[in-house]
Amino acid sequence: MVREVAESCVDGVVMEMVAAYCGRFYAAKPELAARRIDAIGFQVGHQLTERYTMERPRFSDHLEAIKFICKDFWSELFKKQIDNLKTNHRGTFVLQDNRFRWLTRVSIDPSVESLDATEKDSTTLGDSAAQTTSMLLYFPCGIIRGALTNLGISCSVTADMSNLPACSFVVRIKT
Amino acid sequence: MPPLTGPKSGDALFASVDRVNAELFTLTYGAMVRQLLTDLEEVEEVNKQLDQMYCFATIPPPTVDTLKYHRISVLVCGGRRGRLRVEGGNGEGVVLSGRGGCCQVEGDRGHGGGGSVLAGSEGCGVEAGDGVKAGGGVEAGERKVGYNIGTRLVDEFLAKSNVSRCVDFKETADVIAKLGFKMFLGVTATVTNWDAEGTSCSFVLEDNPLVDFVELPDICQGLQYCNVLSGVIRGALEMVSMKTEVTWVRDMLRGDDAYEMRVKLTKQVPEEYPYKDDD
Repeated sequence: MVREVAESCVDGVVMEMVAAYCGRFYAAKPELAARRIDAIGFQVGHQLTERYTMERPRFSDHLEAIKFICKDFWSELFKKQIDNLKTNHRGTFVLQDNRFRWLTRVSIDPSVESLDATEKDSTTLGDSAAQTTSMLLYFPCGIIRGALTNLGISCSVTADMSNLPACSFVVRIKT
Repeated sequence: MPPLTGPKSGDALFASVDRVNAELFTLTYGAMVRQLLTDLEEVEEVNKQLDQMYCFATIPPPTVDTLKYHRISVLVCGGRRGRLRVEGGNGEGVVLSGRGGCCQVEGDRGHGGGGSVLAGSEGCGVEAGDGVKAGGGVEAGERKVGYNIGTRLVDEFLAKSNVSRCVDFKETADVIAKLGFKMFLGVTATVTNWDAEGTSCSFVLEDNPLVDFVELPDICQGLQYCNVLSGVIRGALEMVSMKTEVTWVRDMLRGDDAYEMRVKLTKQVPEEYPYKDDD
């Protein structure tokens, strides 16, 4: 029986981590914050893959590895599989989750603004919520990247959230 | 047969929340701590981030008239050094940047200007210029990982658990240990070592999902890995009007046989209603 904890614990830690890196440590340098969040995700993905593939033979090709991420790996993490997988057969894969769990639970508190926010008007509130969400998405991108790297596939992963709450992860394999 | 509207048992509570694989939780927390150690460099600073922290102080150059506070806490990023200039009111404060020591501000504490800066931890300096922000008073705007999580978890707990208002701190502690820990971490804690006034007790955890697979290397011996838990308790209790101090007594990562947190109730703040009755 796999040990479980409440999902709020994970949500809490992930949200706080994003808030800490974006709001406290690198408030003026979102690229640095993004890199850190991605690095944390990378480590998590790397370690999780190691555990989940212990008993399996190596994957025969990239597609098999990506399918593992879409099915077994995603199920372990989010209790569902990736809804849609597309590829151009030239090293790019798009993994679409129609209702990405972490986005459905994210609460973006508009009162959490920096102190020198006086010159910002209310229209930027939406931007900052979008920015926080995109920062949050660096974490699952890092997880996917870490997982694939551990399976021997070097790649870059970006997220596309133009269609919330659906989220697409674009994996570009480096040849 | 327990009444249908009564509080749920710990197991029922845990079964009623959405749950995830504990490994995801454990590994995410571990990766975050590791990254914090890399970025902040000082173990003490990481401890503070996990539980409590100073406000992050930045001063938008060149004027600092937003600094109308008497006390500004300063977050120090390990290893950096610099000067912090404080102006405002009718005085000026200047930081003495010590060589690897604490930083201080001298200022005129006139009408709201200047002020003293709480020293950062030993061995750190203050990042100057755009790295340093002016914070509010010590209470306002404090952001802490554990504390923040706690303030949110308590809402979920009260919504799902159906517990009635606790009569005293003893009951509160029991509820946290049996129901709170169970609901979120899937494990129960035991409450022991009550003091004579009933304001101070220990929570003992034998099984802690946060530390599965974790070993502390020698260079991190000062790290309070589970500090997020003490922050969560503090944050949660503060939301129900109890101010507490939480310290770690035993830590299995350091070789002890269990995890023990000492929780001391320092102040019970009566709830304030936002509206006056006679308006």
